[in-house]
Parts: sequence; C-alpha cells; structure tokens
Amino acid sequence: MIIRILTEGQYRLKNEALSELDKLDDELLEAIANNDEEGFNRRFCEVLTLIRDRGTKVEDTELVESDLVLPAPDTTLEEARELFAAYPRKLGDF
Amino acid sequence: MGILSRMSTIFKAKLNKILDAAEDPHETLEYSYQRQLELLQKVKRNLADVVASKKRLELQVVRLKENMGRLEGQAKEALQLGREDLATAALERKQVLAAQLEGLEEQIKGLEQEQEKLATVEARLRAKVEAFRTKKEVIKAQYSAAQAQVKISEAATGLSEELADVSLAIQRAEEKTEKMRARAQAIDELVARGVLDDALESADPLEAELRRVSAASKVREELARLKKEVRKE
Repeated sequence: MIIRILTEGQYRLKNEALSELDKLDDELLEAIANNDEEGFNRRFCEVLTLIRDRGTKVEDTELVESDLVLPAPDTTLEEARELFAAYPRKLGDF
Repeated sequence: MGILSRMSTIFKAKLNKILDAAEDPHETLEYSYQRQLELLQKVKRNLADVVASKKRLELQVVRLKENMGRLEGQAKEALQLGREDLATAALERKQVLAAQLEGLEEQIKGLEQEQEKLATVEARLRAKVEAFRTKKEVIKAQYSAAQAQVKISEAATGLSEELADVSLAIQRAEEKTEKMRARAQAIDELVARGVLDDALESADPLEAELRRVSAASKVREELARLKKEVRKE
C-alpha cells in the first residue's frame, strides 16, 4: 500500500505494519470522537512514526498515486475534525 | 482503515474534481505543467519570504539585547543615586524584554524548520516533474494512442497528487510566516515603546500570574547582584 503524508512525501507499507496501522486508526478515531486533543496528538504521532519507520520511502523519481493520503504532521485536532467538512480548507485551484 | 481512509477520500475527491475538469489526459498534462511551473516559482517566493522573516527576527533579537543592556545600565545608575525604586522599574522592563527574547529565539528555530521543509519540497517536485517527462516519452514510444491515454492519465494523477501536496506545504508555510510577521510587528512596537503590550500576554490568568511571580523573583535577584556590583565600585 502506498501512503502519502501530506507535505512530506510517499511511503510503501506492507502486511503486518498495515495491521498495526489499522489498530492505531481505530484509536485515532476514538480520540477525535472524544475531542481528546492530547490523545489525538499522541496517536497521530504514533501513526506517522510507524509509517516512517516501517515503510520504504517512494523515490522522488517515481510517479505513483497513493492509496492513502494522511494529513500533514502538524495537523491539530481541530483541523482533523474539519477534514470531514472539507479538505484542505484553502487549497484552491492548484 | 476507518478515519485515515475517510481523510484520504476527502482529499482525493477534491483532486479528482480538478482532474475531471480536463477533457483528455493531454489537457490534464498541460494543465499540470503550467501549475508545476507556477508552483516552483511559488516555492521559491515562499523560501525567500521565510528567509526575510527570519532575518527580521534576528535583527529584533539584536535590538532586544541592546535594549536589555541599556536597561541594566540605567538600573545600575539608579542604584548609584540611591534610587532603588527606579532600578526595580528598569529591571522589570528588562524582564519583559527577556521573555520576548526567549519567544523570538523559538520562532527563529521554527522558521529554520520551515525553510528546510520547503527546500525539500522543491527538490522533490523537480524530480517528480522530470520523471513525468521521461515517462511521457516512453509512453509515446511504446503504446498505442488509446493505451497511451490511459498511461498518461495514471502519471498525471500521480503528478497532480504531488502538486496538491506541494500546494498544501506552501499554504502551511505561508500561514506560519504570516503569524511570525504579526508577532514581529507587535514586538517592534513593544520595543519602540519600551512597555509591555497586553496583546503579547498569555490569555491564561494562571500562566500570566506565574510569569509575573517568576519575573518578580528574577528582578529581585538582579537587583541584589547589581547592588553588590555598585558596592564594589
């Protein structure tokens, strides 16, 4: 699976790392649902660390669409909640 | 994948809307190229902005340090004249500037990180576009017209995603730089007037009180130090 961390680049992730990501994903959802800022920051940081550590960086010379696009590392809980309304807020026509 | 895939879907929906606006892949390709050139220019402009903001903050650091030195000199002079009240007032002002100085140094670090990020983004975008050009030539040579359209479309989607990502990186850097500018402006005024600006105070009353207590204790320490120095002279 190819995952893009917005503003950072793309990674390839395989098998058991994906299962772990799935588990973190549930916890992240819970943190957002509970409006738990500290929990969201911690979980999101864990998600990014997992992708960076267990994934392989896609070469800059490779052009490939991502299966998953994650928000930028400095995304706040408030921004994450907004993602359900519209994303990105002011991207406009690129 | 629950939340992560929902976030991705929202992002991609926006991307597809833009791609669908073009009638054929070649058009998408041209559109992407145009955007890429604009984006590279934008990244450069943003880099220059970040560097300029950083320089401005560095200048403010120099000015704040000069002002702090001047206030300490005034406090010492006041003590020599037996005016502890004036010395305390000068040292209190110095503490306000010291707190601003700490904030400024953190902001400079933040801008340095933005600068590095943007430089990385620019390098990545250049490499992707170059890859796209190469791929396009291979596709033209190896596939029939209909197949080539599909292949170009795939590559264009990959490139468009990259362009959207770069746009977002630029937008976030702009927002951060803007915040720094506003803060720098406020500090300029503060330094010019030499008084504490309420706008820079913490909104949290507890934190504000803790800062005041800590500043008061630093003022007492400095006063004691200066008294010793004056007695020695």
